[in-house]
Amino acid sequence: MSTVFAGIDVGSSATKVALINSNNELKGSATVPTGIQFGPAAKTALQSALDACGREITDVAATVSCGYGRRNVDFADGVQTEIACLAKGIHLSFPEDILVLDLGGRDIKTVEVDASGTFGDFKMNSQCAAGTGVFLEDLAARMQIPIGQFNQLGESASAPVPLGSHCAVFAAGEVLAAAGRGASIENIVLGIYYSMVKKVTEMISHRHNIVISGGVAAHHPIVRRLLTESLGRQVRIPPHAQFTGALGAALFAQKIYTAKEE
Amino acid sequence: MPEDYKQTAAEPTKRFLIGKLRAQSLASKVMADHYTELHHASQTGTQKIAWCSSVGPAELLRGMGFLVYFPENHAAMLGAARQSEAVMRYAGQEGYAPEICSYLRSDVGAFQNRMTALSRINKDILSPPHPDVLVYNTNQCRDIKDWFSWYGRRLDVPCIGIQSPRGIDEVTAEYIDSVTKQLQNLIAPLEQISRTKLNMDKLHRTTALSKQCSDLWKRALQTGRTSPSPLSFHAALTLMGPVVTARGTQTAVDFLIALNDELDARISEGVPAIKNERRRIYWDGMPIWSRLAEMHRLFSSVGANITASTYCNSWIFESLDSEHPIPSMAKAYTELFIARSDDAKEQYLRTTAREFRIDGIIFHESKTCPNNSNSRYGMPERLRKSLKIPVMTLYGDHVDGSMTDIERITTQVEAFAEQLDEGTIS
Repeated sequence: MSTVFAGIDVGSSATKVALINSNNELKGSATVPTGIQFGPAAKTALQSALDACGREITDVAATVSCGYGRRNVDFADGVQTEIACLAKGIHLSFPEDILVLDLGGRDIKTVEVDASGTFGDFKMNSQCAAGTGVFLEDLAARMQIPIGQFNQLGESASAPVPLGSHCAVFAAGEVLAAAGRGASIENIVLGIYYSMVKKVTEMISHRHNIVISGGVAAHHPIVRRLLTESLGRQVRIPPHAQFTGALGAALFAQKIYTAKEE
Repeated sequence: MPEDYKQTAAEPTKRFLIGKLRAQSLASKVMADHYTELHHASQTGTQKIAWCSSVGPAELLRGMGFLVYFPENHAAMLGAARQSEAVMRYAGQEGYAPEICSYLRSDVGAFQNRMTALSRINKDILSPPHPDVLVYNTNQCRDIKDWFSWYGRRLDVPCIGIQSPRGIDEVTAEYIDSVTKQLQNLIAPLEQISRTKLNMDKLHRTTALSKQCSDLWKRALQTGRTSPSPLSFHAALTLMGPVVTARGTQTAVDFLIALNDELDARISEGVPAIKNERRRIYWDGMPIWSRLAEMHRLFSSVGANITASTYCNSWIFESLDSEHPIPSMAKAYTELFIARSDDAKEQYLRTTAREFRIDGIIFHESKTCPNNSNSRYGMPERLRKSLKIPVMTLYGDHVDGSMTDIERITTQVEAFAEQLDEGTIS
């Protein structure tokens, strides 16, 4: 069995692991809830990814960590920010001038990546949960709807309930008021997605081709559709959207290993 | 897994740091003496005390024999000592909203809570020195007038000042005349409060010392043009205390001569401010006082040194002229960066970034300091295009720690370093 390179993205909500081979092919992946123990979450996720592809820890040639808990992965051979890793990971699927919009649990990031894979300007949302996965999760919890049903409910709606606020706290009040007025759950959910899309489009430059990544992109495909409608141009998504950062980290791991070999 | 590559995560950052300048200890002594002198005067009534905004008419006040106290310096000290968090709510109880200047809220809150950061310098000091007069200049913001007015009402002390023009493109004679007249109008009430006539000889001397202080401060900051720089932003901020509070005195001049000697020695001996300076950064906006040491370690750990900043440069008053003290004060305090239009600011940033061979610019958008946050009207984007260097905005606050997410800032700064040095494995 050939060796693999591990990328571990210890995000605020989920820890993602991607294992790639020397041909940059994804051989295994796993995601576990991060919780508050970053190191153990990273180890658990790595073991799950290895189990998924029938490999052992000794098959891992090098590991790079990224994400909020990146400094807590004490067995990593290198550390990169998730921004650099997103750029690297997205370039694998889209080797062109692109803007990646990463919709994560706590953060929204945009990163410009050129055709050579070099990343340029990047932005992160200010200290506000608007447009993040937490925004959706909080509202789903308030509505007592499993988050896994949100996308389907949104897709079943006929017309969105307009929400004026991007703030999860104030939006919850508007959701309750809409429910009180008799609005359908589907239309409320679609309104929530519209609110989210409106917020994230503020961060997008009109000069770029857009790709979305992150857990929200992976688990809420409606966001891609609404973004495409809102921007009036095609928004694309990589094959393993939630693992984009982890893939990039794995590519950095490969780079470390190659440098060592040389 | 290759053992050789272990230990690259969670590296201790201390190994990136260089020891302090001796002048930093000297600055602490100057500050301690300054506040002890004020405390003594406050207790004994031996000398009148004026509170002055940080870019207010300190020369005029010293020329009239006042000891001068700067509340903004006190607020920064509260922030740096993380004492603000506990007291800002008391300002809220006075009706000051959490969105307004955290300097104001810290200082007013501390006063209401009967505590002061000055006790950390001298345990006998339990409150700021009692003012005989409060003198503001709105060249930096309106909040300073609100702040001083609160004390005026609370302590029943006269509160007078200058309403400065803001958003200025070109500093015209009309603007300078207006401020000159306002400065002249302060003389009569100040003479009444101090019970002394303005001593023009003393004003000339004080203005000359202020100009000398400004020139020496500029010279010190310009050592940042050297690669590697002998001065870091962190050090410059701790060295600024005497520049702000003692300008117009021989003490400040002596201190700055010593500082320049030390910086010159560092340059000739090749001693950098941080080890391995690979990236030279410009910082625009307020410092994050509540996180100074962490920010210094963060930047140092990625080989980035903030070699120039708007904030430190704002205490360079090139137009001061001891032959024409009052009109030159008017000009110096009106042409200040913070009082200028975005066009003028942008031009200044472009010029300074080139002069200091800056690799990237960071804007700090301070939540409660809109007047010193220049990222909200597209300036970062315009500078990115014209200078062709990376430009980034950090969101935080100069004092209010609840508005500063250090984890997010850490990620952004590390990513900025990666952007400047694409492809480097940390």
